[in-house]
Amino acid sequence: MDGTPSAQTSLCDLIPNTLHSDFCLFANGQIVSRKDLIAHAVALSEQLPAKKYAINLCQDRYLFIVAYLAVYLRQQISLLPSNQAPNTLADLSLNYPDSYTLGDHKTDIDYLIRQDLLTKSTKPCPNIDINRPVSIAFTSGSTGKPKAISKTWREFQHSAQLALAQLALQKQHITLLSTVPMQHMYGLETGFFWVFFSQMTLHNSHPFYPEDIRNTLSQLPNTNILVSTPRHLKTCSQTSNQWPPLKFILSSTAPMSTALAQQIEQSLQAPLFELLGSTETLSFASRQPSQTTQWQAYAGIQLIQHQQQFILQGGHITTPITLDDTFAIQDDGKFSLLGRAGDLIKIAGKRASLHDLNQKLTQINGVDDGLFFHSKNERLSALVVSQLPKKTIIDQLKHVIDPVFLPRAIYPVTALPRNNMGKIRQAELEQLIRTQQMQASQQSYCIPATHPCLAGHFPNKPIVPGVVILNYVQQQLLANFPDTQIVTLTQAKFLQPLHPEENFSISLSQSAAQHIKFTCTRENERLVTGSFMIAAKTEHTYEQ
Amino acid sequence: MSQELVAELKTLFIEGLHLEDVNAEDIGADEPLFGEGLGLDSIDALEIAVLLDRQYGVKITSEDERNQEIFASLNALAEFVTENRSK
Repeated sequence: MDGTPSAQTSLCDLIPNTLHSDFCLFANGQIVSRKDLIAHAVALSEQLPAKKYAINLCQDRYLFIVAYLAVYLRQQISLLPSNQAPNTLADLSLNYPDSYTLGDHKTDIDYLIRQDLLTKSTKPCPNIDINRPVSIAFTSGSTGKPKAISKTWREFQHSAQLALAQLALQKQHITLLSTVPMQHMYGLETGFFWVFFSQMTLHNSHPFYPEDIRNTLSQLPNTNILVSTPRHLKTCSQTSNQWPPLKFILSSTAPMSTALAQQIEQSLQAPLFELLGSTETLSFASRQPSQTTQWQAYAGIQLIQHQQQFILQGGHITTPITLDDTFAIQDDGKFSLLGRAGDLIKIAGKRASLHDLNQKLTQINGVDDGLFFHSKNERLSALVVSQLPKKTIIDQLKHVIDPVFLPRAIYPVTALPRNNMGKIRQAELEQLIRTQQMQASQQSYCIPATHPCLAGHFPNKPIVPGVVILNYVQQQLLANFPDTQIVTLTQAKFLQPLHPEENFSISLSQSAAQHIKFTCTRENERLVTGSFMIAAKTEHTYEQ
Repeated sequence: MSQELVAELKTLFIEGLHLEDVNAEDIGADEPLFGEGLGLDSIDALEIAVLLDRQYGVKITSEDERNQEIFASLNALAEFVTENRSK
């Protein structure tokens, strides 16, 4: 960083007691020490292209680390894209013209690195300037524009040492198994800096499915620590398996609920700890979510409230950082997370701003208006005002946004509820979304000829009693509005009779906050229309 | 090839993965599940592993070199489930 004095130190002097201990364990049983890693990195650093920035795309953990270190030793800076989509990489090359791509699998890369091509340098241990930026990662800020976050070696080292001390992991001879990519800050911090500055050994693997994680763990001799995410850990806890012994589970990237944490601890039989952090802050607090919702900051770090803003300072945080979230801070300094400020959303550890996604949606030629909203299963869906087929919209979006943010459903509408300033009217938007979702989940029903309501009625040509149809409407309504109760039937018109064994469907729409219209149709013919008045379910119901 | 199992898998995925915009008849039994075709991603792959484990006792691993084949289409997946199911 400009203005920060350089601080030269020998890389080996940073870890004098563990230089010869195991750093990385490979699937074939091969082991490399920290000294081997440094020798590999020194040799590689001399062969790298003479440019300022290296885009590190290595998927293999060990090769990523060798490259990361080599780039640093060469006085270059690593760029860590959050994904490897062609557009992301093209943008990166455009913004950093003096850069090259470095990777370990055959794609369109400038410098290929492979395990069998690594050599060990015999030169003395190199000096590094720990105040120099080591890498730049990218995050979507509240404005939606990708923000480049540069971090020095000193910040990573300090954060790792504080984390290791807080979790009592410094002196543990354990193997770290991770499902998180090295390009993600959480993967980089734990997979490289934590291991490098402790006595842990990194397992060079990328287990994905629960069964992969279980198989890998069962092949490891020592006690192990599993570094993963809520989604991965959830799927692990859902499979019907016996898990090999684990010492410790670590989770980050998305909040872990108490219930899920307890389920994971029970099924994997190990304590689960959670880290709080971001690309800007690195990790700075931890908690055991099965026991507490309160976060404990690493030693020396304080979270302070200044009016409506929350500021983080101390520890590895060199200049105070204003956070995007809101917190409740206790007298003892522990704190709980209240919510994400603004419109930042997070799926599978990736961050985006709704504002930015909406812009990308409305920039599509042929989309007049549109917006994303939170849908089921933590995914997004979208409302669009457009004549374009859904598939065309999805195909266009694929070029400009990360696939995890692609809308799971697209609902074409005639207009969005905006006021004359162009601002969305939130209450009406929620109604519109609910109506669209209800229409999409339209179900088909059929009253069997054996239904008890038909016994004795018009023996030759029975029709389904209206009250039976209304009962189906009520059931579907309550399924769509689980927190409400029906106050009264305000209107019902029976236009055509329904016969047993005929398929019919019900569509609902919310015309006002407490007013639900319904239409029952048989093919395209309307059978019954009407409306119900609903109210929020309360604990104290009024006497009739 | 069991058409019943293919139909069962369609329903399992549509419900389990909340594919609101997809009807069973939209899914071609020979279409790819990931990327193009149904457009599933790696988060869905994890969910599918759990769905298949719970429903059929089938374990999916990355090491299986046939994964490309297994996930190539619903027909291929149904075949894999038939061969490996324990429930």
